[in-house]
Amino acid sequence: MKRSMRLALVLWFAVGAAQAAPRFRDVTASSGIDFLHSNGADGHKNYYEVMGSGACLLDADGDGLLDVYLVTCVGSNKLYRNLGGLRFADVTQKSGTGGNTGYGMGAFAADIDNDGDPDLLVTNFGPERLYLNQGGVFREISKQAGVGDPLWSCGATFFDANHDGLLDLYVVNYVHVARPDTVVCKGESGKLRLYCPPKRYPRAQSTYYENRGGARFREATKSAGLSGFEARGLGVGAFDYNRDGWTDLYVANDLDPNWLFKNKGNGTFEEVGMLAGVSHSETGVALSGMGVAASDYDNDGWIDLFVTNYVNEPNTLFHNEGDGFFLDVSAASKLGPMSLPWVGWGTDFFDYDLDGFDDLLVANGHTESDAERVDPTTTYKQRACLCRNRGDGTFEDTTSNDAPALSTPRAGRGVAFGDLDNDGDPDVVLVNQNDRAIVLENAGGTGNHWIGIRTRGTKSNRDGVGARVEVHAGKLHRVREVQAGGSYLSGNDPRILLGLGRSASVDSVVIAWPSGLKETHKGLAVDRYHLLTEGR
Amino acid sequence: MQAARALELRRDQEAYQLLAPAILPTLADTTAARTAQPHEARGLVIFAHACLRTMRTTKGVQATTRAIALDPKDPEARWVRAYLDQRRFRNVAAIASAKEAVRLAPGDPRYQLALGELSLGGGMVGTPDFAQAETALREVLRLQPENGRARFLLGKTLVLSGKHALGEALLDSLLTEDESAEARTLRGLARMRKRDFAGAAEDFHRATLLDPTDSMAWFNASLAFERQGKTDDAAAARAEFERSQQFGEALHPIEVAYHSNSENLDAGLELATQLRRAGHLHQARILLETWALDRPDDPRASIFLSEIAADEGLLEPAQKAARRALEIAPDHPRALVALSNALASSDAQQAVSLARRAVEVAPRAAPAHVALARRLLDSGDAGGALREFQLARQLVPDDESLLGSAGVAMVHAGAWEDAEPLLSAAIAKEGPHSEWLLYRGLAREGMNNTEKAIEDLRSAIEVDPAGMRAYEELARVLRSTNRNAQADSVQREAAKIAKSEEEIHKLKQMLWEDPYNDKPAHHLAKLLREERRPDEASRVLAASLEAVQEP
Repeated sequence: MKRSMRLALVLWFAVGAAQAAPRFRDVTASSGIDFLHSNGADGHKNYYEVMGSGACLLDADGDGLLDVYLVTCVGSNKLYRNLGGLRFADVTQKSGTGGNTGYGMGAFAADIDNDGDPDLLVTNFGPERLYLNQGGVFREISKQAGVGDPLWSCGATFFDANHDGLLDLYVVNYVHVARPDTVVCKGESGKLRLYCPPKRYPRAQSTYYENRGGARFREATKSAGLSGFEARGLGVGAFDYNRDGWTDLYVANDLDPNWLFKNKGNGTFEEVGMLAGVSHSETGVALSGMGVAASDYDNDGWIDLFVTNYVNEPNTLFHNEGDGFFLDVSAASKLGPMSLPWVGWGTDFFDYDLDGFDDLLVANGHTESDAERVDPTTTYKQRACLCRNRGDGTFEDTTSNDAPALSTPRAGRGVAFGDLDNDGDPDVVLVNQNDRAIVLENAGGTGNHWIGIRTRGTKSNRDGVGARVEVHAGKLHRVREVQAGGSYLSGNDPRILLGLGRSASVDSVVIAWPSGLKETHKGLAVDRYHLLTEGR
Repeated sequence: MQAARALELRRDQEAYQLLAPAILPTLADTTAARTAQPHEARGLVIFAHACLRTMRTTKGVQATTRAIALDPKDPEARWVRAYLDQRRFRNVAAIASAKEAVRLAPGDPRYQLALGELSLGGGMVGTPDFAQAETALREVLRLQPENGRARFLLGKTLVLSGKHALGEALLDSLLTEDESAEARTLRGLARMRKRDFAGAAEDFHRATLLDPTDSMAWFNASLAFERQGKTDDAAAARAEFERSQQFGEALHPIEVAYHSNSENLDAGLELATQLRRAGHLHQARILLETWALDRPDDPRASIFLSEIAADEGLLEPAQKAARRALEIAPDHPRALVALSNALASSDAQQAVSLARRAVEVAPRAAPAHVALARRLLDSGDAGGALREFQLARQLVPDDESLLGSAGVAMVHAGAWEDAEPLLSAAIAKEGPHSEWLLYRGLAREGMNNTEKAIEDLRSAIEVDPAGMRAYEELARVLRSTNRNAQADSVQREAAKIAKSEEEIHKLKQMLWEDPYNDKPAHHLAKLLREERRPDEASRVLAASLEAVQEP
């Protein structure tokens, strides 16, 4: 072969190889995270076996690296300390987060006492548990804090409902189920025992806790106008949908209309889901809402909503129209039709390629472990979906190219997103039912720029939860709100990480704090994290 | 063969009855199954197709099972079976059958159409495959460019899969010629997505006129109204949405129950009732005719049929069905009421006598008292009528329509001051009602409030442009106030309407006898539109389309 031709071939392969390299690499084996989830299923088909569990990313020891907390139904939840370089060590016993934590569902982190370290809430089939972080060691304070009812809690979110600088808590309760489950369901033949559908179980009332300071909460569901709303609640997100400066709540319910609780600004809420167009699918059906994600996917300045649903139901993308209403754009965005074969759970918006547009990842997996025997067109284990935002209002499935590790079918549930190695791109941790959790490193390499913001409140809550962060870089305008909840049973990196595409500089970063203060920062460098403190 | 020809001519009950005596006894006979010969497959397929069209789902499934076993290469058996499985909500099996039919005969547009339709899914089992649907339906249109059903289904596919601009264009062309609740709702969805809320609201409004139980239309209507700031309309639409959802939740198990075992008469009658409520009169009628034939010992199907025909103003078929019911059960109160209602304008004496008998036989049945009250009113006995209305009200105190009826009786009795508030209350609660408006007008005239009377009579005409009495009374009242030119104009209008009504009645009769001929339907719709009855025109077209597009 001629030398020139050989050179051309080598170059061709090199370019091809570079293009073909996936963005996400499965680094579980080398990470030290050796976590096996278990729901304790023994064939009895207890309904509570279906839902769990989640993951939470938090800097438990304040060393600047995100640690990983993983939840299981049966056995011990685990806390893995981030050692750097995507290596982790099991510090469960030392941290005080081990032991009998209940039949685990989700985990969520937030600084409830404004002392500078994230505290931890674990939801359960049974009372939720609240752990106070005291310098990297956790102490369970559920009873003293006034948190924990015996209901089946799933999703949760911390947010400052009344702008008193303290993070309040909304816990979503699902349905009432006996243990063991006394409701029996069988397939058409009458022989195969199946998990019952959710409508067989009575709905539950979710709980709102007002933070009174000193790591104490007061159950305030009724006084906040949040009682009298019994439903099969699973996921929740907190964000300011109408930009009135007050954080609202969106609850995804399973085969019940989803709710949008508008914060009236006086510590009380009003349900406006149907009015706003976010209660049902566009065909007027109350879907099986599981995971919730809230972010501005089209960079128009308004926070949009994404909800994961069941098989043969489209995952729903609600575009915030900016006038108090949302428009269901699931079909037009392609997200709806592409999701139909799967049961969707954990999800969030994240800009994995840093091109300036928020993408999505959805963990999938059927509820029924014998799914194939009931419906030959589906499976229990399903692949996840990495859905890239094309920047024109539509999304494309890039799983096989950019995250082939996600193509392996699993019974996916919770997903947590965060920059585990502080290299400026979001990594992912997935919890899979009765299977190993997986850690995916975002290998980056797009050449795109980014900026990271860590908010620190002084008058507002210390984490800055509820702060609206706007980044202006030339024609690119990106918006995020600091959140402490969302997805499905999972908690994410509290930092804001925004892709800037090719913009090599940022004109300004504007922060609207929950306290009402609005600040503009100029001259912030790209490709690094910034700690922005309220009032400084 | 004769049955095949009958099926071709859409004489589906006839096709069924020609084959049933030979086939029915063999369906449950395992010996017959073992000894059946391949040539029998054809007859089984025609029989199954007749069963599909006449909603005898269970028998159709049995017949196709036998036919497929005898001749596995017959695509038509698979095709019929696909639709039968769809009826039973077995979507996965339905698609498999349709795919097999296409594989066996890829050039037959019927099978591609079935595959396209069934690929759109529905229900919790079997995922919609929009790509497959689109491919199949485009193939149908390649083979048959004018296939209306394929155009509609392709429009639906495109809208549901997010290609709503293309879908809207297809639905636009369909809706210029025909009418369909579902097409309106889907186009409304496409309009919502491009933020044409006024256009969307109009489509949802028309959809709900055709099918008051269309929850998707009501839901989106509420959103479209909200987006236009019409909060009262939005709230009303939300209330209807909730009602329609409850209806849908109640209907689904009935459909599943019936099509899983279509030998169950009670389930069949319940389904017919719900179909009628949802405006699917054609399907309700087929189901009832099937039951009237299959259970000649039970009067209920014939009674329902009589009521449906009477609702359409077709009194001869209403009488025929009611008489059939009374032959089976001579003192059935509901049959007596049905025949009394059907004879009211042609044989008043017998109508009264039948209604009296109904009250004797069932003194606690409010409809019997109402029927008698109406017959007494017609015969000039206002006092007797009022007594019967009051008895009915005691039996069903929540029925607001009886308020209006009592008001009508009081007008007949000359009690204007008592009648007026009753009729006003009924109208306020139930909305504009031509008869109540007419009688309130007469009451107001009696109270010397002529201007309000004229207003009411004009409103009565607006609600029911075919109501002759309102024209006569309006002309009379106008003349009494020396507005002779206006009175003349009203009378000319009435004469014109009377002539149209004759033709409208003839066309309705033709459609009742042959619902599959869409030419009278289009002609009738045109006439109704000319008579300022666009909602009725839409319903006629939608019903015709539903019938014509059956597989």
